Amino acid sequence: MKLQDLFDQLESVSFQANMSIFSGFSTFYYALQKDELVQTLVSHLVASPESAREVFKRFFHILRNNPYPGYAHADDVSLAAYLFVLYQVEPSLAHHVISQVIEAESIWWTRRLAQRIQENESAETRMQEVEITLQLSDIRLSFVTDSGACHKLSLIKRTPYSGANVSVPDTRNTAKEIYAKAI
Amino acid sequence: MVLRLGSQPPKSQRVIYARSGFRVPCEEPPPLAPAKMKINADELMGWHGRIELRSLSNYPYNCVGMIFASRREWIEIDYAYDLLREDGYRQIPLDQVMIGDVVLYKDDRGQPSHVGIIIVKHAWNLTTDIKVMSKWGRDSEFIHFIEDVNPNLGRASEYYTDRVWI
Repeated sequence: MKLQDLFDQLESVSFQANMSIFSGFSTFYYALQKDELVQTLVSHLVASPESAREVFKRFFHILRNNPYPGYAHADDVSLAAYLFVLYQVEPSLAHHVISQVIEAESIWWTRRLAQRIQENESAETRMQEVEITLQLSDIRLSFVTDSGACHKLSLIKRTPYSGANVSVPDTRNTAKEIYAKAI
Repeated sequence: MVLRLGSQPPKSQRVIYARSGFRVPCEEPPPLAPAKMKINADELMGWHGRIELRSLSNYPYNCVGMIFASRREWIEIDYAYDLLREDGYRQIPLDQVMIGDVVLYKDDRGQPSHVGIIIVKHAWNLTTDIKVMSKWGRDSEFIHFIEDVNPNLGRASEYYTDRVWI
């Protein structure tokens, strides 16, 4: 199926009416995940990565043209489908979309999808926290990084416990300095 | 170890209170344009000839808000069980449903996907026709046989009543 045909179907009354009937984001998201048209577009972009930019351009073309100003964007569910697909295939483009729609009032499902992606990414970043243990002499110090970026370390355990509340702000500190603060 | 939390309740200022005092958050989606409502309604009724249009109100409430908040709020379907429990509903078998009872639809994951209110129960010789009134997301309110919902809304799975007698 050609890309334009997929655009036409994803912007059709049939698709929009059938995807507009959900009463919760969880059910809407589940429907997007299993929708045949959406999956076809994902497959198309995987096979032709250059088409992702066409979807990106299509998204903003539609976003700018709400036929009913003052009301919900008429193509909200189509926009959500495009964002969903971009995030599957070309997350960098999806992030640009998200930055543009995260506060937009007229696009209900698309905005909620953008917010959910951001929340999930934030949670995934937190999951990348790493515990680091440093053994110096008879004292063992355990630190946890605040994110996958490892910009900060926080002391979470000192063995033997001394009750010291130590915050170590920068990994550039040498082990000796960390040790000195901890004891 | 860092545990990943599940989905959080939506951040919202609006709430409704169940009969028990339980707080349930509400959302504020923008209203659909009346013309868009009509286009969608025609499309959805075309899917099944027995579906009747009841209301084209574009006030932003959903199926849960229609039943539990007098057509004034959008309440995520995820709160359906909370509202049924906190409003004092109890589950009953299909053969005991009566007008005014609630039908809960579930999707193929077994998750709540839709609710409707029973408005007609007509027993024939061997079968019983049950009609339901429900709001389909941001789209219209429809009257339909209990099994005649759009496939995306799942299947009638559980039945609840707040009647004091059965």
